[in-house]
Amino acid sequence: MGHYLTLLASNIIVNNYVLTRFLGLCIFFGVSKSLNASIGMGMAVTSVMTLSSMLAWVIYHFVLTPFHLTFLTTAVFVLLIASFVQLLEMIIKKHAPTLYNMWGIYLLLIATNCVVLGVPLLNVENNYSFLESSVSAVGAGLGFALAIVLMASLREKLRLADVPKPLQGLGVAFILAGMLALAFLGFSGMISV
Amino acid sequence: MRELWNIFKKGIIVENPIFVLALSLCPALAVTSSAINSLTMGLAVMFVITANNIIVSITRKVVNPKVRVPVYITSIATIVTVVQLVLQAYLPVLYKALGIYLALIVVFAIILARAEVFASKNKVTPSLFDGLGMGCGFALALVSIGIIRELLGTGAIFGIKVLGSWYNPALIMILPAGAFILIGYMVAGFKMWTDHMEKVKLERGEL
Amino acid sequence: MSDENNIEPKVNHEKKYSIFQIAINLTVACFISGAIIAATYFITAPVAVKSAAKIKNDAMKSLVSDAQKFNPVKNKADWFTAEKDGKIIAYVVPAESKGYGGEIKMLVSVTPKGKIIDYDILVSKETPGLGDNASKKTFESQFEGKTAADLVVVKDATKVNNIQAMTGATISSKAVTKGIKEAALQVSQFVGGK
Repeated sequence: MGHYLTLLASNIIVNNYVLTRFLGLCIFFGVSKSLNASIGMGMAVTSVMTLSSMLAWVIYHFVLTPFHLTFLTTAVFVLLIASFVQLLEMIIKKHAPTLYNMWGIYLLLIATNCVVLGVPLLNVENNYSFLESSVSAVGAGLGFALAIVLMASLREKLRLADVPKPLQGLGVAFILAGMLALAFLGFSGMISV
Repeated sequence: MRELWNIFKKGIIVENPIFVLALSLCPALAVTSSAINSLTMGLAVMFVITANNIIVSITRKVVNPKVRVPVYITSIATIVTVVQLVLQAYLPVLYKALGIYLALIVVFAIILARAEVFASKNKVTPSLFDGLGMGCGFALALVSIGIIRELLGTGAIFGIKVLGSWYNPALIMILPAGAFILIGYMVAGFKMWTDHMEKVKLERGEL
Repeated sequence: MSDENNIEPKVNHEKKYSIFQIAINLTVACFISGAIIAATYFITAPVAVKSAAKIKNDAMKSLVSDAQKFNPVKNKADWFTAEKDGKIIAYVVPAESKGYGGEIKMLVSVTPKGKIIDYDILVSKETPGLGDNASKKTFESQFEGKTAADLVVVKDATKVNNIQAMTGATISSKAVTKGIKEAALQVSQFVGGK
């Protein structure tokens, strides 16, 4: 039990996928302009990441490995995730329209995204079991959600600040992310997995 | 010929993938902790964008528009896997240095974007130059970030010690935080420069 | 009414044509992709294996410079013996320990009598500039010739027999030392057990 909690905490805080591993930056900077959108995006990413990681694990261990096709991993994972997200979007649109209104629109952005592809790839690299992969994915998603919500709150405050013209927009967002990363640096070494 | 040069030039400054379009930022921070890694990643991406642009352009009349995105993704995945396998065999040290970020090239928005925006609507030669230009801009951006980070963070460039022992390396530069802050300033610097160039052009009456 | 009847089948016909086209498009693309990847794999795979073996060999050679040949040890995964003139002059064994930022994986060369020759850090997530210095010569050279009993981390500069901790990286120093000490003990056990 402790091992899984450690894994979870590690992925959320110590090895935060956005601030320490540099994944998911395009969405991170794109969506963090609005707090509501960020919360929605965070939830969408966590759900997609967990489900697709589970699927990817199954495919890797029951199809790719037994048939010695592991060199196809990258290609298969990408197509798998893209098709899965497409399917998910169709299902949600039809059966849960309120949910779709909340965060369905982000689904297409997530379909080909480094963080959603990165998590299954890292799971494979670390040789995680099915449970470990799923926990790792949940942690990664929650960490992403945490980072993006923090960023959004900061950026909303920033709208009232007097930012020099060249730094406006992306420039100051990056510097802000740097401060966040610095803060998260304080967590390193707390949990060793 | 002039047209092709313009297409190529566009990707380096005016529409630089990293500093202007802000696409595919993940590698910009992940692999730029050393100049040689940045160079390898930059060259790899340049190859993938150019190759993919060529392929998309050649097949643009054959690919069904409704399914073009999955087909583009398949094409990019193939190219990236080939690059992975070749690097693993002939340059294993660099392969290890890039780690999973090499595989992640598949989802770089810039490659898909160029395929969709340019290569699917243009002939092969312009698409080739567009790919080269974007790839070159990307590589240059990456290498410049890498050189600054490595220089300030370890006192060396490409592994060769440049600053003497009087320099106490700023560790933060090789850590994520430093990367973010550096790129923030570089984005701002880029904006200042392009704004200045626009002003100059306006004064000269070129615009 | 009759107009509707005329329009409907036309729409259906178009859609059916499209779906078939789409499927063919995608399938052909996947097939070509798969073929290209498979072909590349078959060409590069043997080279990749050879490169990996060469790197491993070079890495071990750097740990035991006199060695002429390396042989895997039976029943011991990833263990190698280094031979010179037919005699075993060292054991190259993997070592692992929990460092500050995560697992540290090392390769350690130990003489059959349990003395450390050298080590290489393969994987580490230690802080660059602090714990990362464990792979630098200044820290590495301390381990040469010491036995497992000597491998205690101290901060006292006079105790030259032990291991001086790296400044600002006590945890990393202790982790690396622990891993190497375990490797030395395992070798002594293995040799003694023979």
